[in-house]
Amino acid sequence: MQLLKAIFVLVASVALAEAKALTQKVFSPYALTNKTLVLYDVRIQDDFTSQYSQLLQAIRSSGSDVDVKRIEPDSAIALFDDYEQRLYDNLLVMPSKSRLLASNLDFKSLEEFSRKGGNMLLLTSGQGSQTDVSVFLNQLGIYPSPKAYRLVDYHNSNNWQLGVDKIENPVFLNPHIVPEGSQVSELAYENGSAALLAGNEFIIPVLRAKETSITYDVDRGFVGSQSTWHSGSDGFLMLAHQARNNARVFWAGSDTFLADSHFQKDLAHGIWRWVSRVNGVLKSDRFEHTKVDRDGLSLAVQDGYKVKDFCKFETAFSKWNGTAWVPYETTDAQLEFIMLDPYYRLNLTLDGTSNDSALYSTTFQIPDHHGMFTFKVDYSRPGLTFLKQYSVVPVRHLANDEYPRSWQITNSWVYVASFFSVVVAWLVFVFLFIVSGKKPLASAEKKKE
Amino acid sequence: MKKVAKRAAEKNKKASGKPYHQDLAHSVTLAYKSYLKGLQENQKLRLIDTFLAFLVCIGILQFIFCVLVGTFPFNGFLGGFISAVGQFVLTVSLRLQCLESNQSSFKGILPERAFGDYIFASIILHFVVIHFIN
Repeated sequence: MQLLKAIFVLVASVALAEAKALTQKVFSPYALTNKTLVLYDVRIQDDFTSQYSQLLQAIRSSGSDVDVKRIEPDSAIALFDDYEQRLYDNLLVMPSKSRLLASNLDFKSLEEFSRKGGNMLLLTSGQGSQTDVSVFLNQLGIYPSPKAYRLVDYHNSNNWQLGVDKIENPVFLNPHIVPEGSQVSELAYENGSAALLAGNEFIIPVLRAKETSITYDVDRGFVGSQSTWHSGSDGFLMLAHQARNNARVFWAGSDTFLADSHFQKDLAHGIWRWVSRVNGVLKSDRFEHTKVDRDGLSLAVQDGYKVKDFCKFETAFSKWNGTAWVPYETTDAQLEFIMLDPYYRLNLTLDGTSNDSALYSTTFQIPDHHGMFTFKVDYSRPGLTFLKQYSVVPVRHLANDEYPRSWQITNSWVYVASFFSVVVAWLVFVFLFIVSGKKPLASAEKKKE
Repeated sequence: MKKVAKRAAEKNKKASGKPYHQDLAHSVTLAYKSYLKGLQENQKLRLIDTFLAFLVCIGILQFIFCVLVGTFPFNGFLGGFISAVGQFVLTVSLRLQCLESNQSSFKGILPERAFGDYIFASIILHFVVIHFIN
């Protein structure tokens, strides 16, 4: 009876856990308010909530409430509360023809939002490219084509006069933002715009424009060097940006791939989860260095480093899987040991994994140079949150009594012996000098004779 | 202009009838003879010069060893070499003060005083070297 009961409890608890895992929403460890603000222009999407219901559902399933608002130049929208704290974790701005996003919002508000750790999914298209959104993107080094420009591809499009409406077999460039599993054979990209890039190393290219595509100004009519925005693969259709504070921005030149009519679940979920920092989030809980002996065993007395000591460095990486931290395994993590320049840049090797983290370590000999050294791990990979850790330690020189003495060095025996022979010869000389008189040699010899 | 002057000087010399090397050899032998004469007259000078020769040998030996084997205990090399050189310098100073012909330069300094100074300076040198070499 007891056994039966136990089995029943066990089965029940397993079933419950499974059910929990199924229903459990993913969420971001960075979530502060669990709210997302969606701004759309009623002149472009007259029935937004029904046209983009799956996108809104994707946002909700990532652990965030959705606040949908129209873009109206006359009404105010609060991004921050009275204490200048963010009211929203994420901001989604649909393409807009409006002059202003809201009476109180401009590109500086978007900057401020990003500076305070807010994430943004910004969409522009040939139909609408709001000025403040564009200016903000320009600040990041992303230059989307303006409203009148049209993306065309004479080689890969059936209806070339209307421009590109879909990208076939798109090649997504970053596996952390669009994972291998969510590749699509066809990407809806109507009324598309393409962006040019300035040199900003924080920008992550996601989708490059086809080599045969161009964007040109429809109003000018002819395609020429004056009327094109991008030509060939120097344009981009999707770009991501992660700032130093890990706040994310994702830009796409069309919104149709997120509409219900062309919704591709894996792709849309992947992008949104990257933007809202559910995916591609790393952390490190451990950053330790210990003095060890030649064999790598920790020493009992940890009294600071001196030159040529041995040191073991350990760190641990975890990755957020949506609901919990799991070990993050990689082979390209490095430790730098720096004084002005890195003296060492060492690969960290995987030592093992615990429930929630993967442990990395390396053992090395401190260089024969004293001063203030920095242990630094800078794991910054496009698409993943930046892991930057450092710790400064002094490395002292040998103390006066830690050098080998002269008699322990065979080479110096020659010099020591020479010195003592000088001293002995000197003593003999002094003795003879005192004893000897001022007699001429000849007379001394004569005396002897 | 200089060349002209030089040639004129050469002519003058040739006119005197003696080439350079003979001139040089003559002056060297003269110096050597007077040196030997000085030695013969003074036992202390001989003693000092022997000691100086010994110091030069020790210094050269250490230098050759350092060139061949490497500078590794550099303080050892410096200590050993400087002890030889320093002792040489001090001994030469003593030699200068011993010469009667130099008495005018060292007025009021007795030979005993000079020798005392020499011992004092040498002991300081040895003290410094023995600490530096370790």
